Amino acid sequence: MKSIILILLLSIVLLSDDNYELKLYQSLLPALFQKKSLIVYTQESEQKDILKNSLILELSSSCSNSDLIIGKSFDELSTECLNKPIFATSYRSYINAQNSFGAFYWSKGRPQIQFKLEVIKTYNLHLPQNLYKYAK
Amino acid sequence: MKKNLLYFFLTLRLLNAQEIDLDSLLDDIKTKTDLSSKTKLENGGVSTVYTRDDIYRMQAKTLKDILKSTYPLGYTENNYGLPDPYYMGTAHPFVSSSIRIFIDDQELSLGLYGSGIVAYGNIELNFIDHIEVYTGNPTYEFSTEPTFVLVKLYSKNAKKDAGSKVFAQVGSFGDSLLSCYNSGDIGKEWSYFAYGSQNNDIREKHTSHDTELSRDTQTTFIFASFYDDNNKILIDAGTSKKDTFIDQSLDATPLGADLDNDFLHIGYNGTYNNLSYLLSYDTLNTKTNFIDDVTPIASAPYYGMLPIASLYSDSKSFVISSELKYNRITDTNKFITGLKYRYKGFEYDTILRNGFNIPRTGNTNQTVATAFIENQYSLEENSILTTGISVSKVQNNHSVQNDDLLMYRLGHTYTTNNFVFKSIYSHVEVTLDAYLVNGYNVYITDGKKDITKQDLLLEDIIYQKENNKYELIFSFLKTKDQMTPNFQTGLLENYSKTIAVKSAILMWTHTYSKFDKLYMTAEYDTIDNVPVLNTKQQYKAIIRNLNTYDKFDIFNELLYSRDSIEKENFYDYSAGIFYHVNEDLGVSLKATNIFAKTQTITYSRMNPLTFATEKSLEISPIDRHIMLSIEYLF
Repeated sequence: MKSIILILLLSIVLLSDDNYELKLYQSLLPALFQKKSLIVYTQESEQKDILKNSLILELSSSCSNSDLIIGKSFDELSTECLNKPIFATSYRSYINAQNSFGAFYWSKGRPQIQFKLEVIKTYNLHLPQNLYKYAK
Repeated sequence: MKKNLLYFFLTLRLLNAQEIDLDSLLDDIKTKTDLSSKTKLENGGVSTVYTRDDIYRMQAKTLKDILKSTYPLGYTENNYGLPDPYYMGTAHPFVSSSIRIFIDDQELSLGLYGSGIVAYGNIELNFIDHIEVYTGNPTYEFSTEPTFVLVKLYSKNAKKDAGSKVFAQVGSFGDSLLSCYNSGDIGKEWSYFAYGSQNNDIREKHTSHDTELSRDTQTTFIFASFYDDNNKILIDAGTSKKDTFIDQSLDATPLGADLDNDFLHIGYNGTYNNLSYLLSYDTLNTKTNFIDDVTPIASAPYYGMLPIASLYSDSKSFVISSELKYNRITDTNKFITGLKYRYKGFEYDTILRNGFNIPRTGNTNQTVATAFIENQYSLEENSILTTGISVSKVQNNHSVQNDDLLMYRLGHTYTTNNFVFKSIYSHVEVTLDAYLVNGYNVYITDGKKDITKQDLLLEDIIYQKENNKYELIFSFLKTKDQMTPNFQTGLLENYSKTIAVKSAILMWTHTYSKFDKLYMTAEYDTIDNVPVLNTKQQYKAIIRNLNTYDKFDIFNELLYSRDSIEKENFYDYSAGIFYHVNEDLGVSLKATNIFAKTQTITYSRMNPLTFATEKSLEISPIDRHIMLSIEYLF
């Protein structure tokens, strides 16, 4: 019975019209990291709101034990987190942050996805073949 | 074991790279994560929301394209060719002050006419993300003054629209619209959106006794917003030159009718913890010039003032609005209270009527002080009781027309899996706009008037299942002491009878695929005690279809209307096609009023010598018009 509820909850989270950004993260990040669940660190309340209902992406209060960082501002990261892979949520942070392997942001009224192949290789991430068209 | 197995299969699905259909997911994000889902007031009365996608695919370029099919408004233009939904067939500049227009959280207000609808009622939409229209005395949270219908325009912002866009449109009357915007970040916290346009709005011409009537307008407009998470600064400014159609010509044969407007809105609003605050400044400088081929009657009772052979006016007005609100959310309550203060200043530098300098009344400002409390109380998880009360003190500096206004509303929302039931009772009181106070010098009003009172009882039933949404609204509106024209004196007076409007509207939205949407409505209204006409019945229907096929977006809309006075069927059929050449370049073609059979407005005429009634003009505010547009994003 519990497992049915678990699956139901997971399905609701995956299919909810209200949380397409979470759906995107949950589709993309486990595939890139080849892990069924991930520990995520973010400093931004908007991202915390998006991630709080996830059963796959676990929010961490400290970045030292996280698999990756999500957000657009990384100036106040502690030194131990400077080498963590970053998934950026703005074009500017995607360009400026050396560790950013990918980004989801809006530009010209459209949602955009981008990946940096070089950074993906550095972190031994796996970019699925059908997503290479988004990579540079 | 079973749990682990199920979890494994689900995880496997997530890890399977071939199943990540990012293109489809990005399409969903683009169309379904609309900002309106964050801004819409769920318990704010009856709402009609036009999402960014709706506006784009309807090729709605100005607010007229939206309002003409929006419950309960429609789009109407008055004698001056200005937007005025409650137009009553008289030559008053504006009578729709209980309809209020906002950009984001800031009201566009005018010193003389109150509501900004008269100046912004046909505003361009290229800088607008989405539109929400609320009716039924929706909330006291936003408006300082009595509001029956709230039109909220939400501007685009850098979060979604970083980058630039240029847009050009030419139309079949030789009209043109050029606009561009740029949006991006300023530093780490702030962002900006900047827009500019040049609109040469040449309209369809009509004739009255061989005199051409023009509603052409040339407008230069800029809009800019600067904001971070908690603060927003809005600036909009423009200048327009307009041909004012019939203006005050009794037989609709003006020799000249012009209106020049310079307008500015600058405002700041912000939030800090549970507090929100706003300060804004609006100004409108207006020059009007009207000439008619009539001879004023020198004898009593007209003394050379009627009919009007020439009228020149030069006015300046401004509005300062301020507000402070406090909100608190608990498990069972959502409470908000606030204080608002508005100062409206105005003066006529010149009023020259038939060559006579008209003395001013001395009334140069109107102040409105408002306090309100609203609460949403959760009786149960699916049952919310909404209560609100607002009191306003309106004072005019040189008039006995000082009024205390009381407004209240009681609402209940009950939801089940598929149903939403909204019940609303509201009471609104409206006083005279500043330009009507002591209006005896320009023959508009005389003496103190009673406040107009509106009581509304409304039931809204929504049923939603899978890809269908049905909405049925019943409403009963009573209006007492409505300001209506006395056809013997020509002055506005409180109407002695109570005007009663009973309405029923059924709406059906059918989303039959990701990019295809059908919207249909059927509406019946009956209005009792209409001045002169007594009783009037109206029948309206809308069919709107939005489709996407490959690189083409296709739009079709048919508006039907009929009333018991004209007893004629009217159809406004509009259609458009948008071709996406690539992601950044698009070309579109749109036509409105294709059958040239859309609902007309009655403009009455009388002989300027004998004052005998002549055959009225029947002219539609929607032109038969074709537009070709191109846009480029970079």
